[in-house]
Amino acid sequence: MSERESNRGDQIVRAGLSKVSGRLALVALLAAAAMSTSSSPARAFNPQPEPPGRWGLFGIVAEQTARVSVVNTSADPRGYPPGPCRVALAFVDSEGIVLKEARLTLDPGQATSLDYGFQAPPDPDRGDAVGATADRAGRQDLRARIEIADLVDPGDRSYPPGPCVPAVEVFETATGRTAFMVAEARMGLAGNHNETLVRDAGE
Amino acid sequence: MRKAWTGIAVASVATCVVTVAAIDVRDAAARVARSEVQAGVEAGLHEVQAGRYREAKAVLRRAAALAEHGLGPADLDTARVLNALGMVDKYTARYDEGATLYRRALEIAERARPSDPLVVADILHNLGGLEHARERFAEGEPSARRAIEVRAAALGPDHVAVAADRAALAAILAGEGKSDEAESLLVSAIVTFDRAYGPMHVDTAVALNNLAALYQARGELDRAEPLYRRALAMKETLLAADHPDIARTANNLAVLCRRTGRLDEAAALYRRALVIFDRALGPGHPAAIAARANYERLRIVDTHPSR
Repeated sequence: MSERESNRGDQIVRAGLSKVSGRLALVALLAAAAMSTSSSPARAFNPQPEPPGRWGLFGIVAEQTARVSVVNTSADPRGYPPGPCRVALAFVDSEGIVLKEARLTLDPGQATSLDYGFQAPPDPDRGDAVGATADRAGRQDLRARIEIADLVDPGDRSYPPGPCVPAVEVFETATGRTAFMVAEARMGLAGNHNETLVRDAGE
Repeated sequence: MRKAWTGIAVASVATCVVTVAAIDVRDAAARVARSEVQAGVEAGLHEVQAGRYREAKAVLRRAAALAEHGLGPADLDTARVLNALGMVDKYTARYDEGATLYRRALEIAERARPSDPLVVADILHNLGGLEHARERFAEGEPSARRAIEVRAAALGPDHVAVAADRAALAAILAGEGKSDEAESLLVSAIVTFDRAYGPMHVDTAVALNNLAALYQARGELDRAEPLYRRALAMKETLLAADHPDIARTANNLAVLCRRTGRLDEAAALYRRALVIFDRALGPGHPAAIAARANYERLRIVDTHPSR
């Protein structure tokens, strides 16, 4: 009899313990999660577009704007090539039709961007033509396209192909708040190697 | 009397509640810390592999602080963070700091229970690599050989990761002038890489670069050149255009071009290597200094031989 009571009591205590410690653990987890959210490094989605500067289809909805941007990251004071970049920024629809585009030359350190705002869906009752606008569900599919031509001959592999780095962003038109961003990152990964660097000691 | 016993029982239960709750909270916090540390190591290594060392260091320092406090100085994940930070120091030529981090990491990894021989092998591999980077080749050889032993015992001698350890040892042996053993290790590593990864992999490109450098040091330039060109083409395909690994092969090929009298191509390759080294590592890095000295030699001695 007493053993049973003792067991029952033990069960009650454990249930209580579990509740208390569970709550404390939950608070700790939430606090730690909050801390980790604020301290963890931002990790951009890296789709590794290939060829560089081209991405797949993405969508915007009402009150959103898509922005494609490019920055010439070169800051070499000695003026090694490639120097300026010629860039062509564009948004195209799912058919490949150009909706908006811009072409310009970027000197080292300069950046530029092209915005494309949401276009309302066509209203057949008003006689709107169906074109590069949102579907009836209110979503508009787009592709951003960037072409970068360095002023150095692209066939000349003696120089780095170019310091211009593109990105695509979608933000709330009214507030400017970023909804998502896809950074161009044409990069591969190398391991920890022992790689020989040759010093020229003459003949 | 009964009241007293009841009081003692209640106090005991309360103590148990607080103790168990505290343990639960501590465990939960440790789990969160471990998850954050592991994510930090992963993110840091990603930056290292991409050649972005400043970013890597920032991420890994945060992870290291979290590991030391959240997991403790004897935890295997702490060893992993220290090892990754050591890699950053190696690539940024902070060799003494890197060696200290690697040794601390190795001590932790060798004492950890349960142990992980692959972590131990990684750190040994890296210790050898650090000595290779600062050209103290003989000091690096024992660690590199131990890395092979430890990893081969865990994975078997034919595993591709063991081949990577052998390729790393080969670079050290080449630096010591043990050319024949180095060549044999590199050739067998390339065969293993090809079999495991196919024709395109950074490990293969690095091994080809090192084999070419070995032939170049022997004066066998005809054998070296096609290997350099293959390595460079692979790196251009696999890596970002400004990755320092591209600059190493560009520099080495430039030396070969200069020796064979193709001065224009050599100059262009040097400029390319310098742009990358300066951007990625800074002009004070030993690799940038070496490449600049090579380029200056070409510009002053070869194009103005009367000077």
